Amino acid sequence: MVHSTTGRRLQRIAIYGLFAVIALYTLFPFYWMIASSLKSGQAIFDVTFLPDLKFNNYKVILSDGVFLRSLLNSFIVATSVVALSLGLAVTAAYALGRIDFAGRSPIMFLFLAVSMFPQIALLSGLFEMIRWLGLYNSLGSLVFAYMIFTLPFNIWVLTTFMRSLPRQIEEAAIMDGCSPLRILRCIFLPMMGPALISTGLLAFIASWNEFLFALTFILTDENRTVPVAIGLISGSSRYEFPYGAIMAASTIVTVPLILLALLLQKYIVSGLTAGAVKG
Amino acid sequence: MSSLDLINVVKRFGELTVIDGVDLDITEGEFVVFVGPSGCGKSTLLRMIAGLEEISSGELRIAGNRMNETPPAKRNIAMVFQSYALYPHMNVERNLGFALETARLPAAEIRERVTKAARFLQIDHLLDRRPAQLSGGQQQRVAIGRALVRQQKLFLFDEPLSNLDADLRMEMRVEIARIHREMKATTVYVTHDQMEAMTLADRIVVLKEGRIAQAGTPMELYERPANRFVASFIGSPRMNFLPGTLTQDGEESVLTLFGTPHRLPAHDYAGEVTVGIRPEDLILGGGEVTLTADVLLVEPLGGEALVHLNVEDGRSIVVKVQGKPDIRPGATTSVGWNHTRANLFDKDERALSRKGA
Repeated sequence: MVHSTTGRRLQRIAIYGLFAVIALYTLFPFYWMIASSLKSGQAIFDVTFLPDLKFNNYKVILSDGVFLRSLLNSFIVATSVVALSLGLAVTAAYALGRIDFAGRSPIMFLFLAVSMFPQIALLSGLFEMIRWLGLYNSLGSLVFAYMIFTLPFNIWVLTTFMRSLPRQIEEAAIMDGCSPLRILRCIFLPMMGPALISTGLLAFIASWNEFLFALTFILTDENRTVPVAIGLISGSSRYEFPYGAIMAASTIVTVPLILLALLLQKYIVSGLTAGAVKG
Repeated sequence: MSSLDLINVVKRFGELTVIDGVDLDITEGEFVVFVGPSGCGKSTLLRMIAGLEEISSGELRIAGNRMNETPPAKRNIAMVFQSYALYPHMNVERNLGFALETARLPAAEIRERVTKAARFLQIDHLLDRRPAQLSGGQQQRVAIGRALVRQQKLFLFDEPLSNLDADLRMEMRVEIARIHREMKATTVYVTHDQMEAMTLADRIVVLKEGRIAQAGTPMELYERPANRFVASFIGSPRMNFLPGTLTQDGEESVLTLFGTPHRLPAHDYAGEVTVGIRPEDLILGGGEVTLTADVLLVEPLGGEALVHLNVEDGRSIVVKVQGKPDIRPGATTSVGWNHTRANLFDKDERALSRKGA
C-alpha cells in the first residue's frame, strides 16, 4: 500500500515535471518576445527576465503608417481567404461527400497531392500565373496564392465531416421539399458550425503568418502584409537593428490570433474530431 | 387521401436485383404493412415509393398518376424515418414547421398547423426544446408531427419503432393506430416485427427476396398462409413444422408421420409434405392426429404457458396452453391437433388446399 502511494506520487511529480518542461519550451519564446518589446534602448541587450514595462517600442511601431497599413492588409487578405476558401470548400465538400459520381476518389487524392508540394516549388509557376492575371503587387495575388494551401485542407476536412452527417437527415430534408442549396444552407451549414470554425481559423492563421508568397508577389510598402513588413523594419542607420520595435510589432501581430484561438477554442477541438466519431 | 399502385416494379443495383417485380394496389385510406426479414427489400420498396431510390423498371402511380420521374417533394408524401432524422440545430417548433417554411407558407398558417399537430401528439409543451433534449419517444412524436403538419395524402413509415424500448413501442403503436384512424391517410409502414404488422395493418405484404410472398389481411395470413415462409414468419411463437408423406387412398388422403399413417380429408397431392401447426392449435392429450412426446421444458408466462416437447426423431415442438399446465419436464405425454388446424406444404413449400376447398 505504502509503495503504491509513493509510486503514484512519483508518477504525478513526473507528469507535472514533464508538463513544466513542455510549457517552458513552448511559452518561453513568447514570453521573451513580450518582455523584450517592453524594454527600451540598450536595456534589450541585458539578460534580465523581468520586463521593464516601458512602452516606447509600441509608440514607435504604432505611429508607423506603413506598419498599420500592413496590419489592415493582412486582415483583408486573411478574411478574404477564409471567406472564399470556406465558400468553395463547403460546396465542394457537399459534392464530394454526398453525391456519387465517377472519379470522386481521384479528385480527393489530387487535392491531397496538390497540398504536398513545398511552397518554394510553386513559386515561379504561381508568379507567372499572377503576372498573367494582372494581380502582381496587389492583395488579390496573395488571396489567390493562399487558396492553394488552404483549399485542399479545408475541402478534405469538410468532406470527411459531411460524410459523417446522417444520411437520413438529408433525406428528410428532401422529403420536406428542400433544394440541394437549401439543404446545404439550412441543414448542413448549421450542423457543420464547429468544422467551419476550426478550418476557417486555421486558414486565417496560415494566411496571417505567410511570408514567402507575401515577399515575392508584393512590391510596394502600401500593399505589404504584416510578416513581411516586420521583416523589413529597419533602424535609422544600417548599424542599428531595432530589436525592440520588431518585438513590439510581433506581439501586436500575435495577439489577435491568440484571442481568436481562445475565443473559439471549444469549437476547434470538437470540429477537428467530429468526423472521427460516428454520431 | 390517395391510392397507390405498384406495377411490376423492379429495382436493380448493378447486377443485383433487390426488388424483383412487385405488383400491388393500395386503396385510399388503407394501412398497408410491408414485413419481412432483413434484406427482403421492404425498405428499398418504401424508398422507391418515396422517390429516394429510382425505379429501375415498372411503374409507380399515386392517385392514378405515374410518379416514376416526379421528385420526392412533389409526390405529396410524408415520411417518418427510423432514426427520426430530426434537424439537430432547430427546436421542435422549427423542426415541425420546416417543410411549410420551405414551401413558403404564411407564418400564421405555419404556426397554426404546428400548434395543432403538437397538441394532437401531446408535444405542445416541448416546442422550444432541441431534439437532443428529448427522450426517444418524444423524438418519435416530433418525427411523426413533422409528417402530420404537411397534411399529405400518403404517409410512409420506415421502421419507426425499432429504436424504442418495448414499453414505448407499444405506446407508439397505439398512437400510430390512432393517427391513422383520425387522419384516414393512406399509409405504408415498414417493419421487421410481425407483431406490429399484425396489430396495425389492414393488409400485410410479406416480402421475401424482393418478391411478394403473400399479401392479405392479418387474419388471412395467420389462418391461410400461402407458403411455408409466410407461415413461419407470421405468428409468435413460430409455427411447428413436421416432415411427412402424403398418399392417396380412394376418397381420402393418408399422411404418414414418423411411420404412423393418419387418415385425412382428400388432398390433390401425393409426395413429401411438411405439416405446420401453430403452437396454440396443438392440444396436450387430445386431437384428431396424435403423437407421443417427451416434455422438455415448461415456460409459464402467467396467463398461458409454453410447453416444449420432444417428438419422435429428436424434433422439438412448442405448445401454447392456457393457464398453468399440470405437467413436468421428463414426463411422457401425447400431443395432437385437429385436421382443420393443420397446414400442409408441398416440397416447394407452397400451401396445399383440401379437395373442393
